[in-house]
Amino acid sequence: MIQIDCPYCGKRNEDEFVYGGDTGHRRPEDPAGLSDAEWCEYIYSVPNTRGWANETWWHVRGCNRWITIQRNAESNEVRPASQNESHG
Amino acid sequence: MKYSARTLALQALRNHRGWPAAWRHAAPKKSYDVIIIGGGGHGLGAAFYLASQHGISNVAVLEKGWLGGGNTARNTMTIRDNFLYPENVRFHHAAVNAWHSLSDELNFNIMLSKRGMITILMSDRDLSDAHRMVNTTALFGAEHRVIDLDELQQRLPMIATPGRLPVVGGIYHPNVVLARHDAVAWGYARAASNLGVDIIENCEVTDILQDDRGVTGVETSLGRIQTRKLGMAVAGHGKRVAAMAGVNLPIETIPLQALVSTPIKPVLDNVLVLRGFNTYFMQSDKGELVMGAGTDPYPSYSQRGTPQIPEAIIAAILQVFPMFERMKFLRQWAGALDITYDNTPIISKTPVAGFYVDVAGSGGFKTTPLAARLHASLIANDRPDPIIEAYSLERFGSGRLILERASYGNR
Ligand SMILES: Cc1cc2nc3c(=O)[nH]c(=O)nc-3n(C[C@H](O)[C@H](O)[C@H](O)COP(=O)(O)OP(=O)(O)OC[C@H]3O[C@@H](n4cnc5c(N)ncnc54)[C@H](O)[C@@H]3O)c2cc1C
Ligand SMILES: [Zn+2]
Repeated sequence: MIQIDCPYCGKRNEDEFVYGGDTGHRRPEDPAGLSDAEWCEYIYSVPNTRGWANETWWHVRGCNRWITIQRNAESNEVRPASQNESHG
Repeated sequence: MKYSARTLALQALRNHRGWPAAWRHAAPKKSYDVIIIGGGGHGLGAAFYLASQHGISNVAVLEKGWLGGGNTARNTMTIRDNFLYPENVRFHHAAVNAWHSLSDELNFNIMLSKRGMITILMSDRDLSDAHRMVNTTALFGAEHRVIDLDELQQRLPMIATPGRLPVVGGIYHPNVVLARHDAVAWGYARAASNLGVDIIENCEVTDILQDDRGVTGVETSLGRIQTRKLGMAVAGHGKRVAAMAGVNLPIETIPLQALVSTPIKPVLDNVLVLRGFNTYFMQSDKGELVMGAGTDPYPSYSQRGTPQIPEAIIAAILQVFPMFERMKFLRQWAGALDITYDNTPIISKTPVAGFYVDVAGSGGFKTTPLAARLHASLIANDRPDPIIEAYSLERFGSGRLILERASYGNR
């Protein structure tokens, strides 16, 4: 079981959290301005990194905040993101 | 050497000291007509069909680890065709049928076992979905049948009814079969090798080379190898490998887990699916209960899986089958699946000429013989067979996805 260090609650088991995705995969600012091809490119280009990546997780069974951590998708190790940002 | 009762008897007289290796361990040549990346069932099968059906035997299969060590070695062997969307029903029904002649085709016993499957339904909604699935698949000749609670109890006397959950009936799937997963890899490897295919293990593809006419070769841990035609069947590594050719595959790598108990005497002939829990289990020939569930809740390449899943599987099974309460959990594992956004396979050309992909998707053991045959014909003819036209990569651009939900939980 991964233990995720929530900046508000401390170390908690992963099953208190919901995975929110790679922070590198950002919704385009102006979706209406994109061509169909550009929109598809955004939808299907989830990074799927094998190694360390910044990810958001939702501490739904805890403080209910979104947090950012780094996880290594090869070993499932986690560590704090260089700059922990809260998304409210 | 042809395997037969006669060969077996002759070898027995020699104390089994005369068996030759089942396939050649080849070193890479400078170039091939076709290279297949990935030595699982899908890749080895594609190489076999290229040689046996298209007369292309100057073929290499490049495998980064050992043969059949990926998801081919990790799956729960269930071969079924209960799908909801016409494209998928047609394909999977044909895929199930393709297994029946495979042992003969390969001269290798893949230990096909006609187990049948029962889906246990726990709500009225499950029941109406069941009727829909049964009727849809009937249009394509697949045979499934809704059964009532009486018949379910007759078939499964150990089911707890009334238990804590309202079991309302079931679906009987008489044509679900199991096959020995490793034997599929070994059988294809041996048959392909006999036809001249080079099977190269410990050879990782690290880059895909191209010029303005398309693929020219691959860079590997054993050096550069040239080819104008490249097929890919690497399961959960698809996104990375396709990216080497600049192709963005619409897939994510997500673990799928299975676990087994210590062995007990035979109690179960069918594969059982607990529809409401996204859980299924069966008893192996060795007597272990083999249990599985849906995918893990987040992407990962680790072939371990999160422990919440086994916990949930075991809890679900015990609700319906309290008789297994005292059993011991023996081991657990996971494989890295290539999950497509619509849970439907991709067997397709790519924007790079000469580069073809076979993405097995969430439950691709069952499709191994058919997908491999159609991947091979796609490579040989540069044109998809009509049955896989809907499985092309273009559907992700056009939005014509095949949103197959039935593949979850009925695995
Ligand atoms: C726990 C579990 C249960 C499952 N249960 C079922 C089931 O009951 N029924 C069903 O139909 N399906 C099931 N599946 C899915 C099924 O196992 C897979 O879809 C199928 O086996 C995929 O076959 P493959 O040959 O494409 O992939 P694999 O067998 O994974 O082969 C791919 C190979 O590619 C190699 N490779 C990767 N990258 C490279 C590279 N860069 N260079 C060279 N080689 C590379 C890998 O080492 C691997 O050996 C299950 C899977 C799991 C994990
Ligand atoms: Zn918290």
